[in-house]
Amino acid sequence: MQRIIQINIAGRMLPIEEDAYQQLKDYISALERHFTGEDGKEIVEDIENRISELFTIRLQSGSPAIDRSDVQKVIDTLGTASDLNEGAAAAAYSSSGTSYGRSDKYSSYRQRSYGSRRNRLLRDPFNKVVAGVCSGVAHYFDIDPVIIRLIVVAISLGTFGTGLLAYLIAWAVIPQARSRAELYNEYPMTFHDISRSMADELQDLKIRGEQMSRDLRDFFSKKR
Amino acid sequence: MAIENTESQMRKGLLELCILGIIKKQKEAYPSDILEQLKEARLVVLEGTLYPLLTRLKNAGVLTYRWEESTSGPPRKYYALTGEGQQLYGQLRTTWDELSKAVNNLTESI
Repeated sequence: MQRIIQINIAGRMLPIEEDAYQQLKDYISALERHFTGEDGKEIVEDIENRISELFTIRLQSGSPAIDRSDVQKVIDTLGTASDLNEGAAAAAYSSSGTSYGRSDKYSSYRQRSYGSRRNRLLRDPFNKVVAGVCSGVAHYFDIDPVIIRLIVVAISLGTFGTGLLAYLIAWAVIPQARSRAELYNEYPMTFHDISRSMADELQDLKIRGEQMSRDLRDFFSKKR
Repeated sequence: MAIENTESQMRKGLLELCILGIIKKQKEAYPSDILEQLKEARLVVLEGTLYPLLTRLKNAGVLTYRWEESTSGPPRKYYALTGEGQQLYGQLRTTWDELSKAVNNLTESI
């Protein structure tokens, strides 16, 4: 048995099962985390509009409410947040060789968004137990994450919890990988190394702070 | 895993050209329409890749859009090519023509 909830998505009122609503909410939150800034807002609005359209079509075929399988189908059709980043990066790669009028503005806009090529220490949100710190470190050194986790636990126990403090600092400081490509260092060869400006770094730190408090909330709500 | 990656890279690389082409052909197009055309032409992409791409093209001055109210739902964004967009399309089209000719030449005799 499912409770039905009414949602307002892109200006349409649609009935959706409670489970499916949760799934949809998680998906949209992932998109919002992924697409930031003014542009990000616009992109997520466009995507919500498309979701709303797809749901309307589904409902018109006689279904009384959107269920989990409908939401899953929509996610499969649109792509997950990480899929979409790879897509955007790859599309950028293909046209980076083009030159035309405002190519500087165009390509630097892309390059600023997608960073440099060197092997970076990032947190891995796809293989995380708590925050992806151990997974991220494991990727950087190319070791099994289990070994890193054992080391971290051993250090934490050995230092009576001070090691945990180091873990929390690492959580705050190490940025989260935005796509699988970043983790495996699969950036296309034609990107140039661009040093980010101070403002970018500060903005990134702010976003990570927000991300971290969200992760904390998720972690504790899962325990319930 | 590797081949899907290569294939998907190929498709994504051509996506800009296709989108610009669709918009150019119809003078104006909204996102769902563009997706329909892509589907009809059997160009397989994750629908979600379209939206950040459209926004990026708009920010780079390649596309503009206007809102149109619709009686059957929320308003729609109608995208059109700018002068630069026309230029970009021309260049991408030339690149594609040259590239596909070259690849066909190479693979024909295999």
